[in-house]
Amino acid sequence: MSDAVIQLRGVSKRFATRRAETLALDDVSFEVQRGDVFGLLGANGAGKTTAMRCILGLTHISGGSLQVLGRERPSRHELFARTAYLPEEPQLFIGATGREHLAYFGRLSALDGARLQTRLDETLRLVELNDAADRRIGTYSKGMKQRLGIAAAILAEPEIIFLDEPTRGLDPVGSKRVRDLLANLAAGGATLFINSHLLGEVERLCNRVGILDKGRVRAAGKLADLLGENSLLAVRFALPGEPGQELAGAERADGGLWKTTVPDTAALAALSEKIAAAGGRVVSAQAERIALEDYFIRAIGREEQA
Amino acid sequence: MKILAVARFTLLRLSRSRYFFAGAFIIGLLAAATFALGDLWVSTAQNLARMILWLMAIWLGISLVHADRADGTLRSTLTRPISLLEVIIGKLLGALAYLTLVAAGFTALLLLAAWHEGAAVSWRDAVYQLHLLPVHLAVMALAMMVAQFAPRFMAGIVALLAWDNFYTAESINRLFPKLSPTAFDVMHGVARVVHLVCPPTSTFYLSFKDFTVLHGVGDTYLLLLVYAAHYALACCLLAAWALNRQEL
Repeated sequence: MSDAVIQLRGVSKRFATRRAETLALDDVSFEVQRGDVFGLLGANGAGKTTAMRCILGLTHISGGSLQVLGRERPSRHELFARTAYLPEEPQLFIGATGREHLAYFGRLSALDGARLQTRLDETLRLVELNDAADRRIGTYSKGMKQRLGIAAAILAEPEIIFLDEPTRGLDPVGSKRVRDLLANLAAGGATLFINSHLLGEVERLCNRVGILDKGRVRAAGKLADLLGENSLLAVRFALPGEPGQELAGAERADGGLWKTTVPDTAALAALSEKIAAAGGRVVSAQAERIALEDYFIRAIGREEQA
Repeated sequence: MKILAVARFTLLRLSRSRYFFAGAFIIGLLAAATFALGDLWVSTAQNLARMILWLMAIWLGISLVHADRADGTLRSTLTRPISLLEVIIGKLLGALAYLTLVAAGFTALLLLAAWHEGAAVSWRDAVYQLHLLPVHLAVMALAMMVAQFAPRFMAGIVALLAWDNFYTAESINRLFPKLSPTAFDVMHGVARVVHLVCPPTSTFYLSFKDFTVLHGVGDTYLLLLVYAAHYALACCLLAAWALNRQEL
């Protein structure tokens, strides 16, 4: 049975100015299941933030249908009672302390009294800001601000957490801390929706992805399925000498062997013939999962060629 | 409860902002001036205090929502289960609480100065600044609402013209004796319109004394408080409607 918490069907979004009309989202369809860590990938300007803002009801969609938590276009109030959103640049009240900021957001989410205090302590500990909680936010580093933004998002234990470029502008140490934090949340069963153009980060965190390019979805589904469907055959072969023109692109492998990749078995048969013609032999041919980065480039490239 | 949370947090932020220090500085100046002016202190200091509080109300009104929109905190606040109207009402209440504290500071200083100078001061003089607060609420709400439809400086001018000093031709002539006839007509016309759209201020300033003769200060004050609260609520509704039409 489907347990989709977010479903987009043919969603479009137009931005109209006096001079021109821009189609930011064009027939976008994908879904996110409960407990998923979903990564929406795309280059800058691909429409990721617009898609997220449409789902959150922060901007109106121009067409299509959109369901969140089983409700067709739920009201903003209804939605934010059960979800949380961390924008690209978390907007924090810099004159307040970290604890005051979180307490304010907690009260707005109907937390109060002892429950609020308990959640404040738990959340600050989780994001490793308990020592800096009583300092003004203006004195925080960028990484600390980002973690405070995440703390504000998870404070009221929402069912879905939306994060727009959560590691943008962070140094490697800061990025890793945020990634570890998100991995902890995912391990705890939270549903995360992450917008990112950092493919390595998404590959490490997400189990489901959507690839957005110029407002259109180029691919969407479980990461394992997408990358598995697009696996390559890694071929290792022996040759009496150096590979000639017909085997250009082969690289040296261990044990004096050579290696190359082919997309399918037909290409493997053709390659075997070339190797045999050169006096060599195929030692092994194994399916190899391609990296998300290669898949992303191919998905975007295919569309551009088309 | 959420409205109170917004009000409380707004008061906290305002008390830490530079406005607080500017307000404290002005209070200090006022105190110094009242000591120096001796017997003239009551009217001079009270008029000065009234003007400062009026200008603060206008400034708070035009920047209250605008500042949060500019730094994006309004958007992050709205990612909580709270409506825009609740946020606006809460912010207005927080700003009113802040103005009340500043007015209380003025009042305390005026009483101190009176005691020091041995000047006669009635209880009514002492609470003068505080009982202007419903009008400040109305002016702040007016400035906040107009700032959602027009540039901030326009909103500031509109709220400034709600001041009773611009209401009658005599008072404008007194303030600007060398004003050209055209400029006078424009200013007077706009001021009349503003007083029509901001009735609490005109009602209060023009009729307060008459009302108090008939009904007593307490009743008049309560009446005005309820009147100003309704007016502020109407402004909040209009501002929320205007903001809801925009992409925040």
